[in-house]
Amino acid sequence: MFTLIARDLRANFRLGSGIWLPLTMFLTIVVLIPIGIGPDINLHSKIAPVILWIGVVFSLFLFLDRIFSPDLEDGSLDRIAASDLPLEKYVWSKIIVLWISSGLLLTILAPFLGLILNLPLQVGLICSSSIMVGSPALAAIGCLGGGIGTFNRHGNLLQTVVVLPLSIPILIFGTKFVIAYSNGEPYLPWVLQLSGISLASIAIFPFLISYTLKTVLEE
Amino acid sequence: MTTRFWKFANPHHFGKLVAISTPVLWLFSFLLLMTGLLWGFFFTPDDFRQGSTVKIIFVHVPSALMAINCWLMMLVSSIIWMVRRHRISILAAKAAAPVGLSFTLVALISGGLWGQPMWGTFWAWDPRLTSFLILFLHYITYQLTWMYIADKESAANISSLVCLVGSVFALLSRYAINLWNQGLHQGATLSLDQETNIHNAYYIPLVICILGFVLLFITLVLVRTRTEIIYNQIELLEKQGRKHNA
Amino acid sequence: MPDLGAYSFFVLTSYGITILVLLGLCMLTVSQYQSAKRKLARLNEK
Repeated sequence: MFTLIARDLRANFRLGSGIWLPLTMFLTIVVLIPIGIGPDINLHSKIAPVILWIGVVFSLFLFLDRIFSPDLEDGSLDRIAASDLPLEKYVWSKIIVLWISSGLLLTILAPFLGLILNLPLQVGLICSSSIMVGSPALAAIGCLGGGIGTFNRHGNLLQTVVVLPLSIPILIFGTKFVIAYSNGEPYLPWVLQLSGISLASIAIFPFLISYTLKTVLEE
Repeated sequence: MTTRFWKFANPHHFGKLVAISTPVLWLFSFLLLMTGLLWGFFFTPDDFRQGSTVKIIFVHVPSALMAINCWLMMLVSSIIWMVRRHRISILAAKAAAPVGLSFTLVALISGGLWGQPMWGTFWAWDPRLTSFLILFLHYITYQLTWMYIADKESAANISSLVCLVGSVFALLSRYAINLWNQGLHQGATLSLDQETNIHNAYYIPLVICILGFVLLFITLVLVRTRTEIIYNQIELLEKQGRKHNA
Repeated sequence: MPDLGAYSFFVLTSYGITILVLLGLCMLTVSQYQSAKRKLARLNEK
């Protein structure tokens, strides 16, 4: 399993596209929304956590067709399904890879992008920690989308649209955590619930995703 | 009892059931809806606070109720498909989705039309309204999985998975949104354990309307499921015909 | 026709939309059912 993770990570980092596309997407979204709003600095700092979170959701969910499709096309998915390695473990390694090569990098980038949104660095760090806690769940949901996307021959539109509504509770808890912190309210319940969702997601989603992959392989 | 119920998992028996029951069901749902809506529209007094807008309750509450019940029915049939692999079960879920989508739409629109004169706004980001919007999104994505996945078997698997995961995440969103604040929307209108039910003048036509919506839902789902079964048969016949020709 | 007062627009529109949506759904369902049955009958004749 660790060889799988290492292989995918190496492919992502060597190709570059694996990490640069989500990062660029994130940057673009975070720049576009304030441009649309105009130079209202107070409003920017008020909605900065939401902008950062929306950026994370979209930059994780827009490139889902690259998770399972390459393996399906070159036949390595069939070989893994036939081998001793449980499909769930393979899926789990994919979630980890997706998280490291986008969620973790976005976490590092978030406080600095928060600065251009007039978000104080301290709150920016809180925001990035909420992204770090919440993005594993997003990565798991994204991999489900990637599994669903392997069916779709109509331009991989289905996967993103289907999984986007699933990100709603994570978005709520993530932004609420940051807003509660900056308002000086108790914020611990929010981050605990968020991490609960994340842990449950990365525990349960591998089974669901391997169910979809088995369906793909049977087709 | 159980064996008698599962008998209808056989498409042939199911077809007979539909053929016998639908005329009666159509008639009764039409009669109940007509009675309830006409009664609600013409023969209920205006509320002392809400004026005549209180009449919207007769379309708003039943459709909202059935929108949620329809999702529950889809969830149950998806689980039955995943566990027992009954084809009719998943086809019933597929057939119910557009019905539930329409009910959700009706509930949202009539709610907005009620909210405008009462709250001064068509839409408020209130917990109940927002979670209904989220339910609407989940209905749409469920419908999309059926539309975009060509293979029937895979579409059945994936849509039931989407329904299952969607239910859990819709509940999570509902829970998360409830923590926002108390909204504008009033509490439960019909409950068996509370004293603050609505007045009898509205209660009886409302119950009739709800029964009408339930019957209409059952009728529509039965007929739509039968249609899906027929389409399956057509596909099978065409496949055989192609094999025969080749 | 009951007197709906100032809110007649809202009440009438919500009833109208509900009835339109429900009728449309019923008609769609029945027409799909009929066309499916016709198609099946045609296939069986062949």
